[in-house]
Amino acid sequence: MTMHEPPPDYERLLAVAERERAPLTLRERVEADRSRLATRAAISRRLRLSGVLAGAAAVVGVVVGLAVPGDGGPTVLEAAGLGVKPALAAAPPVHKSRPDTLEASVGGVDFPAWGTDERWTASGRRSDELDGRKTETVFYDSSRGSRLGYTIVDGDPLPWPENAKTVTRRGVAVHLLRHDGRLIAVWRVHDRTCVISAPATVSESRLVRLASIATYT
Amino acid sequence: MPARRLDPEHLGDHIDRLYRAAWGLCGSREEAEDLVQDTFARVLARPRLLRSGDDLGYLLQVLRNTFISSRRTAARRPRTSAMPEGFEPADVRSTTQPDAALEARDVYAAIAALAPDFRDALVAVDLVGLSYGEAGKLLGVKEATITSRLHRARTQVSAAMRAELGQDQSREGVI
Repeated sequence: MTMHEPPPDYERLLAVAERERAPLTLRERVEADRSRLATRAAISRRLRLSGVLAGAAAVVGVVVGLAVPGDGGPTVLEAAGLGVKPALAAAPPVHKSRPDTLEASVGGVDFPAWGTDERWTASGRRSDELDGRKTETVFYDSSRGSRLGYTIVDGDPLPWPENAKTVTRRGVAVHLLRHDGRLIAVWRVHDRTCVISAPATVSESRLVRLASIATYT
Repeated sequence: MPARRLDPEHLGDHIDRLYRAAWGLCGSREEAEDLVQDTFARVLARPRLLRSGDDLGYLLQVLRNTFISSRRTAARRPRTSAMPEGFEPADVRSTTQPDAALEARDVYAAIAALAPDFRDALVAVDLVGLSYGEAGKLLGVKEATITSRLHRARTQVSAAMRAELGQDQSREGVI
């Protein structure tokens, strides 16, 4: 053994230590803190913006600003941002009577069980709110270790993203764009907005295929 | 390098490594959870501007400062009760692999029992994954000092685990 070489059994001990992951309860606690502080900051920003307006106009502005989503609600990029956050709960199971879907849905739109054919398996989920809209995200892992996040946003459809390319497959118009090193697909099912945020290594054709399969499950 | 803002949206990416670091500092899984939550709460409380490109190094620094101040506060506070000798709370999260969970607990206990200088070097390099240079900068020592502290820390953890294993075997022999 050279002077600074670790003891022979140390590598195994380190592997034991590295297997440990932050428990779900801790992730939930941290996420709850983050959301609470983000909401407080957003309210504070809105109050500051409206603070210069005098009297009743300012009061009305604040009330309206807090009561309704501003600028037509969240954007698809905000929805896509949920797909790179950590999962906060276990993956939903495959539906017992409909094995091509998971036991998770938003506004009647089911999450798909892409299963072994597509080599993307559900690995976790999280529930969030974006400007008061309920969202559900299911994470899927590939056999190669990549992860994508599939988010469905409840309520009226979100505006299409700007500078997106549109590809139609099996009658489904999928809008594709690249953002922050991710490939993002956006489409609608029963007026709900569906967004996949995938690693840039996933090809556009593959993402369009996943989107069209998800639409018809 | 120009200052940039720490992005709260991506803090969760580092939670596993910070949790392991916290466990290595505290020696207790439950305390580690509280420490990580306190650290994130402290970081999220106001916008943070970073001059270095390394979020993880910054977060470890906040974690370590939070740990040190919590220990100081605890030392000033009167103790109201103590767990009985040898008390081991049941860990519902590791029931699928109880042996692995016990071994991990022993490894982290051995790390936490190191002298603070050795422990901090091992936590920064082996548990968080900082380079020797980054760890030296964080802990305010030269890279060569990190190298020698790390070597001694690893040797002591290995020795403690061998001693633990020897005790377990002799206990089994008695039974």
